[in-house]
Amino acid sequence: MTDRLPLMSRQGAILAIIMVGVIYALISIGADSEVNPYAASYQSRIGLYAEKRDSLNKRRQMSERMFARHVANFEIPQYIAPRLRSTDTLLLPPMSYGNRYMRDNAYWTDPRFFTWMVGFHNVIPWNDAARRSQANAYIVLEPNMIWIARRGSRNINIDSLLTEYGRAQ
Amino acid sequence: MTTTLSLVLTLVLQLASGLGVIALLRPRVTRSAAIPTAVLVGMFMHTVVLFLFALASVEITRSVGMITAVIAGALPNLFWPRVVQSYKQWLRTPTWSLSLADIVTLGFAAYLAYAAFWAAWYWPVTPFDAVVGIDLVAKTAVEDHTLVNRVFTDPFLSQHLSNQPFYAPFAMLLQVIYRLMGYAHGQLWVPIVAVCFMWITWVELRRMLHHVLANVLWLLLLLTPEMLGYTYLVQTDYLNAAMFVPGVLLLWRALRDDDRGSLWLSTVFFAAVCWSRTDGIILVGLGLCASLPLIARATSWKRALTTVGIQSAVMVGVFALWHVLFFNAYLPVRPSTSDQLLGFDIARAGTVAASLFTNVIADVDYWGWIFIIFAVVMVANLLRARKLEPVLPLVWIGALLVGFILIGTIFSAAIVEQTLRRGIFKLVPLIVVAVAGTQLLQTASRYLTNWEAGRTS
Repeated sequence: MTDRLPLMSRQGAILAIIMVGVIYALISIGADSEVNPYAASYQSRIGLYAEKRDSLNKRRQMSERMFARHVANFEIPQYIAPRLRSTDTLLLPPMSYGNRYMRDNAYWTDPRFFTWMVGFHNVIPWNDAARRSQANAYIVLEPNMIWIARRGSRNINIDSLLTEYGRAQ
Repeated sequence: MTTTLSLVLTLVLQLASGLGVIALLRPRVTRSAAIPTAVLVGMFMHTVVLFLFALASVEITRSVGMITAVIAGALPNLFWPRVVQSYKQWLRTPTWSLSLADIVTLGFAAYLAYAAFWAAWYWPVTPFDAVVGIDLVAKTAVEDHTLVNRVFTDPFLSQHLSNQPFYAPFAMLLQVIYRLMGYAHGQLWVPIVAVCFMWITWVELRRMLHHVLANVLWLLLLLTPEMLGYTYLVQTDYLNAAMFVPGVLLLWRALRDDDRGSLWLSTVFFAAVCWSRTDGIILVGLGLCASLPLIARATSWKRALTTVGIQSAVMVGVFALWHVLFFNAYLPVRPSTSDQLLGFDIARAGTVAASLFTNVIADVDYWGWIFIIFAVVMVANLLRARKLEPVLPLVWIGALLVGFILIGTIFSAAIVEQTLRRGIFKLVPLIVVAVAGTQLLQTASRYLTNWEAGRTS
């Protein structure tokens, strides 16, 4: 509407108060119920960070922010990568195997995600049946424990592990 | 050069590039809309120039990021005698027409923008599709100084790329530019796009309606639950919507006001749609085909066919730069698109349509009340005015819905609850504009204006 109305007027002030009310209603009323989807969404996407911004800003290390966002999907590749040998070709387990031990989806089992987290390594995903046999290093997960197993290792039978991978899928 | 200085310089150069394009094409856009429009166009121009450098095998470095910004900024302004007229108009003293309600709304929007900038700066890239796709390619491009990088050449990884690394390159190139500047996660361009996009829609709604109605509708758009998060999360979809919607608005203006400049500027935006998402060419193509009778009615069939032909040629050219030239002449691996083509099946189309409407569009947790408001206003307006209006936005809404169903039917990778859900980002602003354009709201708007002005009729 191109009509130019005065900035300060009684009607203008009433309308500005109405706008304040509309904004308040949209972002505040019924945040805990299913009545107002705007309030719940605002709270989780904007309000939550506003409340915690001071404490969040104390996390200055990039790794702390990565962990806060990606949790185990950040931690597991960070643990694995420095322990790989130059001769290792790592078989990434199926996501379902990783999911057993994580709250979130085990995205780190995707070679692209793994590469984004820790750079380029010789990794083969479980679903690459043609090249699976080239792998000589494997991930073993247990509650609160992770290690890299290699053929000949005393602690684990690799064939049993691969059967478990397959079963998990 | 510090990161912040690089950002300011790049933004100024992108603005200059966009203003140059606008000044060349001379659409009748107001100064308040020209600035955000120019930033979006400038981003597009910058990424295209950077991509052409990459095609010429120039190493992608920080200086190249800046040189390409300078070239993008200078290129349209080389036609100085033509563009200088527009600059003179833009440099006139601004006249303020803000109301108190505007100030309240814009103050709140500024807070949302601050929150989005903070989140984009603070958090690492989060969405899975971006991590395994555009950001993986961008991060490696910055490390390897080339777009044909280890993502596509590593003997282990290149066999397992799926679709994401092959997405249309606009967002990926913006990630490259922002990572080159020194931003650890790139992604600061996301809130810049969001601010420009929302600014454009605000100006359009303010032009159409009384400021309170415009601001309420704009708030519903701004706070749309599913879209709010993507004002700081990297994905192709929000960027795609930010190119699509101004394109449609400009086309609408071109037909309404017989403005050739707006028509050609809409072509730039439609080209940017194809640069930001692969399916853009199908959706814009459908929209243009559906608009053909309207363009012909405003001009002539011959002129309409010529216009749409030129627009399509520009879009296909931009689309082919990445999807044909780069894939075939540069990349050692290709996406398995043909494996994902299913062919059209009416039963599957029905399933996709049902799922789209029941699982996605009807979900108020994603879109708030906007689809309900749209349905109620359209029915009330139909009963009152006995016609469906405004025609062009409704035609594009229809074309988008048909396009989504088509894409969901023929591409197995287009999952309704994910791919098509984020496609709705293009639909929501058009729905808001369509609601604003109804006679019902126009009447309410006149009533409010008269009341505020103290007039009795």
